[in-house]
Amino acid sequence: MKKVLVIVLAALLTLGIVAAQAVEFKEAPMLAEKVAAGELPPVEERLPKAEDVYVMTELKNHQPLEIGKYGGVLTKAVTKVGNWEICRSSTLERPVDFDTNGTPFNNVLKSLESNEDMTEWTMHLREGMKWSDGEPFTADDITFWFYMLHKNNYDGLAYWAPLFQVIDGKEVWADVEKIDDYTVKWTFAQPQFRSNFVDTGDLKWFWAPKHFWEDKVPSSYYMENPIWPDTGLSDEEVMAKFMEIGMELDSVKACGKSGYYFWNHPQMPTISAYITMNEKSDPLVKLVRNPYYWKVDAEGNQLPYIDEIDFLIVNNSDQAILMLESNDSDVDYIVANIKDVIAIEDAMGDGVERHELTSTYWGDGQLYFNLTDKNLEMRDLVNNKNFRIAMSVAVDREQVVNLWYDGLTEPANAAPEYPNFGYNEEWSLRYTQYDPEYAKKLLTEECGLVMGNDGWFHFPGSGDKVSLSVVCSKTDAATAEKYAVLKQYWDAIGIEMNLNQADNYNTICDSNEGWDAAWGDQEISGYKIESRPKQFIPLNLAATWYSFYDTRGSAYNPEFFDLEGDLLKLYNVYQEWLQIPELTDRDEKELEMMQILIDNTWFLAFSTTPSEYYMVRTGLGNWPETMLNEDKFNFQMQFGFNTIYFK
Amino acid sequence: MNDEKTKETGGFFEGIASFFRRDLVSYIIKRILAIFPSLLLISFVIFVVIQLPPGDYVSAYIAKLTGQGEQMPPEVIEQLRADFDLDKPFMLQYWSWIKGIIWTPSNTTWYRLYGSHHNWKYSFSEGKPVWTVIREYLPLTVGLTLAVMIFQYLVSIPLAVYSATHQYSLGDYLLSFIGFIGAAVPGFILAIICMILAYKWTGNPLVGLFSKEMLENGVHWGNIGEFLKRLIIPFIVLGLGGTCGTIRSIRAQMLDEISQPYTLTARAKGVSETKIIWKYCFRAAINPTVTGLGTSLSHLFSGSTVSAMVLNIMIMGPVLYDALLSQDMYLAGAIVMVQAFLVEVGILLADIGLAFLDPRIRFSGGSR
Repeated sequence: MKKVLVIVLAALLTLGIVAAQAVEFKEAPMLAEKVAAGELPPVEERLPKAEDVYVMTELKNHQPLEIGKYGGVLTKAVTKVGNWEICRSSTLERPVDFDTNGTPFNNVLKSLESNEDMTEWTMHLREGMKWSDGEPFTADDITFWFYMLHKNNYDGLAYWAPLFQVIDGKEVWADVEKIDDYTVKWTFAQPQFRSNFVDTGDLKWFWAPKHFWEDKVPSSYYMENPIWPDTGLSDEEVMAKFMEIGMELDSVKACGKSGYYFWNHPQMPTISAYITMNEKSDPLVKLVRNPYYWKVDAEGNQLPYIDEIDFLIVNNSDQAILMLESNDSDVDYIVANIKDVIAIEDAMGDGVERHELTSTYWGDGQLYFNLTDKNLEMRDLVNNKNFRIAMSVAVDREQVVNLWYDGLTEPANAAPEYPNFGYNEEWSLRYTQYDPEYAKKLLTEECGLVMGNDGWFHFPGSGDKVSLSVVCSKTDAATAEKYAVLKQYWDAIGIEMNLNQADNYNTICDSNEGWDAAWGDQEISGYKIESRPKQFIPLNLAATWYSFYDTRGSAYNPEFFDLEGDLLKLYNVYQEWLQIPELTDRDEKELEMMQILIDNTWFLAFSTTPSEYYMVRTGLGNWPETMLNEDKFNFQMQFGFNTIYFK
Repeated sequence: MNDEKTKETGGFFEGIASFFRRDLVSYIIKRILAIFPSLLLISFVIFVVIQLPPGDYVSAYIAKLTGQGEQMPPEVIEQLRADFDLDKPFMLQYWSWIKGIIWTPSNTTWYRLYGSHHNWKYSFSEGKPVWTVIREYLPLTVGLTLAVMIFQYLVSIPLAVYSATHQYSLGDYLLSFIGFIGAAVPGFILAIICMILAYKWTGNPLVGLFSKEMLENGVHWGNIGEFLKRLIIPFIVLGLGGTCGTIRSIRAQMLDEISQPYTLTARAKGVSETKIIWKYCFRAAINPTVTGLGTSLSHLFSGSTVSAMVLNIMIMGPVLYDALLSQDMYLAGAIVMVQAFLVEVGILLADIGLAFLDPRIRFSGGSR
């Protein structure tokens, strides 16, 4: 029944196409003026052919889409850190997208299907869909991206995991071929489930505008492929090409992405609702309406409604708050934390609306132990579940939430939080009852530790004091302050914990040297395990488990530990989970994995996670009432720049 | 009358000529030549210091991504490190950096593309050549710095002289009080107070030098009023500390000079009070202030980083801060180099100014 419902929902989201055939398309007045002036073709010619136009009828949380009004400039004040990527990711259009339950629906792709053994995936594009400069969006943009930009690592990240498989410890890439202008076929060496392919959420795009890139790929990056010939261009020629469009580079290495997701070039055509107009260092980043955007509302109005999105860059969040509160300012919304929300509402009254972006973290202030600790006594201790329980019950969480968040959050342990999948109050509150005497009893009777005359526990064998080195990131001052609150409880039961605020946090963790527990950085989150499995499962890519449980073959890491006990069980359930083709059929196994995680208390948390809040000036329509702060759902995008409007 | 004027003009030129006496000229030449080796030394120290914290740009970048919930496999991290040449030994990195700055030959891609013999390398975080980044921020930084300095001296000098000539008067006490407060309150606290007061009184916290409209269309006649309004807080915050310090210093020096025997002699000979104060006492009293000119240029350039961040003014200080935070070593190195150069030039100018103000100062041994 559930599956049927999902299919119906997906159909509703994607196949409102029929309606599109009957409606006359309309456009923003600013575009109509350009059409009248002969600067743009008519809206019908800019959109895909009628049956391929994407008709939006509801938001991602299934709230019905109101028919909006055109016009206006929406301004957000954002802090400088990471602003540019956030500005651009806010308008990302993915092959398939997800509703707030995690159900996938076709987005850029019109449809996709596989052969029986799932080694071939055929994807259909929207006929007549165009890039923001009016050039057609076709199969060539996919094959060119794959062979000329991605597989050769020219885009700076040869790691689009859903596009290769690890077979006998080696990465085996898929191949892609063009069937016709609007159809491509991916071929894998082994069956590739949809859930490991387009539904992972990691496949954020697999295209780039060929017409923009074809004179910007140097020979030095050419990799033999069945479709595209070598451009014959030198590195210098390519850099000169970029200079022509205002990009100053010092090598062709910088021609790709800025390290990870997003292309460096605001000049590159896009298929998003808005075109980025500025570079990352600019104090005002403007996103202007894409006249060729391929989505419309139920009445045939081409989206987006708002003419322009402006990101005003500020140095810190307090400035953003002051600007929102100021009557003189242009700022329409900001993202604020729970403490600021109350102050903003006091200052602005009815002039502001609060929209919650609920967390998907498994609790706040996560602490996890190094299960592969090189100190064998310490390894035995942290692998003892009773030790972890003792560390949990030693903490007075009621006091913690008051000190950390003025009592605005709830005491909790590491578990799925409401309203995420798997939420269970019993899980959330397990081992949260403050009982230092019980903690001491566990340490003595179940862990075999010996209380010394100095008031600290000692190992029975070596006689050494039990002293855990807890590593955390040095840049995170707030985390260190929160840790100081916890330390007093562990001191009180006789367990010494020393915080190492390290600049090279990741290096220390990866080296497996000098840390017994890690605190508050690589936090476990996800609306489901499938969102970020490696955080939950002992994979050697996973931050939490670090590099020492070798589950991808020893080629990746010469030093590894075998999985045993419940860790092995968890891993095996994960393997079974991977073998279930449909994402929606995986819930049972997902719960089984969660149960193992909760039962073992491998990591602790101390409070529910405070939500983030969008504080929005009153008067904006189509802002969803519920949102999840989930990467897979493209968290920033859940309110949809393409659909909000000024009432 | 005309003869007198000619005599005065001739005297002026003679004064200039005698000012640039041989020992001063050779001193200036020596100092200019000394700038280059000292900058070279500074560059090495800068490069060492910037690289001192563990990790590098890539590890800082990975930490940022991790904070956003992203993870990268080790092989990709190593590739990134190699892309940025961060896998090379320290000395090789330094040599490649400094060599490019001193001279990049004509047969390099850099020269052919950018037409410059000085390659300051690439800013990882900004995604463009370092010199392009510096060029973007330098005009506003230098413009604001000089404007604040001029404001500082225009305000402090008359007040200091007034305070000294009216010692223990109400005005003197008031100025002393303001001076102590100004010197004691950190700029960033003052910035926050000013912004809150601006918000309470006008409904606009005046965050940043430029409104959104100015960022879009630049400063023009239509918005010059708004722009000047936005200058008030930065001028107060960036200039107040220096202004108060200068008032205190000149006042103390002036009080010393006013009680000197030469002042009494001048008075006894009937020289006017204005001439005594401004031509003799003030000229002598200003020496320490002029000496401090060199370093104050650098101080304003980056010393007010926290205030500039609080006020959201994108001048060089906050850019340096961001560069250090993200371990963008070439950008941070270049900014500190520019500052070091400014300090050198500032000290040289201060020395020349000092010689101009006080002919007793010599730059070489022996008698003339």
